[in-house]
Amino acid sequence: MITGILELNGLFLVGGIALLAGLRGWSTWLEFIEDIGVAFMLGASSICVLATLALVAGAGLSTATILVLILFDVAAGFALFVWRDRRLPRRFGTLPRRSLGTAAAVIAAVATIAILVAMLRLARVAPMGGGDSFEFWVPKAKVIYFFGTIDTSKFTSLTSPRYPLLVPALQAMDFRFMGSAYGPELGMQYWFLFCGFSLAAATLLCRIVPAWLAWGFVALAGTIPELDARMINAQADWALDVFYGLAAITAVVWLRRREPWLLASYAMFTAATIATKQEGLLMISCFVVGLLAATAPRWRAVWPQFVAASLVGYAANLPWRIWWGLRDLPVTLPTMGIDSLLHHLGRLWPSLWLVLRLTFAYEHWLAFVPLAIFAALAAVTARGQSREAAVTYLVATVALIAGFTYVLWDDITYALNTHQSATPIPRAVGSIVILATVFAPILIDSLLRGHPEADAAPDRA
Amino acid sequence: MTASMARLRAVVGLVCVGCAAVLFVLEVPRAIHDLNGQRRAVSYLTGAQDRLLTTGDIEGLPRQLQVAALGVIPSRANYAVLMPATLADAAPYGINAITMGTGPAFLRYLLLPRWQVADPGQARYIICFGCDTTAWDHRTTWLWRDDRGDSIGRVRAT
Repeated sequence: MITGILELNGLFLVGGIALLAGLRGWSTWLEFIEDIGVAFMLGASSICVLATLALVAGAGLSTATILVLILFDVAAGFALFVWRDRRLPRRFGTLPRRSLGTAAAVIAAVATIAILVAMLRLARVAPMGGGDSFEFWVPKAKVIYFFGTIDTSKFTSLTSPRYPLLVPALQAMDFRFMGSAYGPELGMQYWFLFCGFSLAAATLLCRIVPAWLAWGFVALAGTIPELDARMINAQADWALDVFYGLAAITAVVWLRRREPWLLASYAMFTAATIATKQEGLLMISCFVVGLLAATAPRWRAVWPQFVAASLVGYAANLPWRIWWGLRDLPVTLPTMGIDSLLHHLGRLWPSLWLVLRLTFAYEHWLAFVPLAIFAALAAVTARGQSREAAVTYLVATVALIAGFTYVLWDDITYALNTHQSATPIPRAVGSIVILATVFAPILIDSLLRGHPEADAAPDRA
Repeated sequence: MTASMARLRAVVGLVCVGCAAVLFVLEVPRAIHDLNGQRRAVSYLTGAQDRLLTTGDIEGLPRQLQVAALGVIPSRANYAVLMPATLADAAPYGINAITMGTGPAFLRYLLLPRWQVADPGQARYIICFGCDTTAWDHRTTWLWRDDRGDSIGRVRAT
């Protein structure tokens, strides 16, 4: 069974390498090796999003269909490779110089690997965890696997029928390659996602911050208690957060480097984020608002491309919204009108307080959010890219806190406590934490660099 | 002013690096220890079936019931789960609120592609978990029973 998961994820990597070869290309083999994580996550997110579109179009996820989706990635990447007249690398490249920073980066990378190994050993033996995993995520995947379609009452009668399709699609593809709907082995898929996130995040961050900072925070991400407790559960929360984290990183790196492949990657990770959970749209929207606010002084140079990429990510999820709209599937979250919201005004402050308590709870999330906020409040006094990163982070974080507060205020069936069975917010705040984790090294680097004249934005409106 | 602000920002940056370094030293070993602890806690699971059914055990579903349901109910049949109507009725069977709430959902996941129907009248098979079988005895062939009173039967076509 594990062989099947290895094969599927190997194919994700092949598809991602083809895509990245076309989008970016590499000048050295060392660059190619460094980009393996990015390639894997691009392949996984693109093929999973394509899988959701295949399901909406009425196709099942047979082996043949999955291979066609992967071939689509390969063909698209190859076509771009030829069109952009790219070449394979001709030299290996230069390894980093030996220095204190390189030694620190190596230590952090080794720590990351140690955490990944411990997580792998757990994933190999653990039973399937998480109530929502057996309540609806894995049953949806099983319906796709056994019945070959989502257009059946067996699928639409399951809890949360309007929930996006990426996780059931991914799990169904795992079952197809495993040759069995064995739920406990799905922990391995989530392990691959976290591995891919760790490698991709480190590589992308290293393009704009020193390697010791990038790897340091990637290693720290693996120590988040809530991640260690739930990463390999067959649910959607951490899959959502890894796609979201990568969307944020690729956007910020694009802002600094202006390489088109980064914007294309951002669009892909945005599509995957929105395709994973309903909160994905809220999370991306908050990040978009943050980045737009930060780049308002040079909006002509940034907004058209960034908004277009965000819309591409959203558009990839429109077919699913049309599909369940046409079938009038029941709404999962009741929405009160403005009168009812005002009638329940007494929930507003307790909702906000609960979101803040959860976000800053060290025993669950460590200290990433206070650290990132502290760094951002200092960085916002600088100019150019430092201020842009700080404003992006602060506005996006405030928007996320406001968004989750609204969800709690609006849905009076959610208890205002920290029990994960009573409300999804204890898990949802993981997005606030992952945003802090990926922004912290960027903000800290901007504080340490300390040369304002070198901190100018590359172009102004 | 600009230079002093830049120095102040650099100090803030160094404080952040210091905090991150402390976090690194404290939390990396703790995380690895916790993950290894979780693995040790489940190391008693010796096979694929153990990993599959342990989640149901945790939800309060008897292991024998789970195994029997997988073996007795054909793979494309539909079935219904009959449980006590109230917690008070369930208590003598050792069924608690968690099992009442999540037991049917777990069985639905476990037994797919067998399909769980809400209306027992539509079911070809019934899983009686702490239920009163009196109303079903005359029209059901009981295929499995345990000494707790749990049973699985095939409803005879009328």
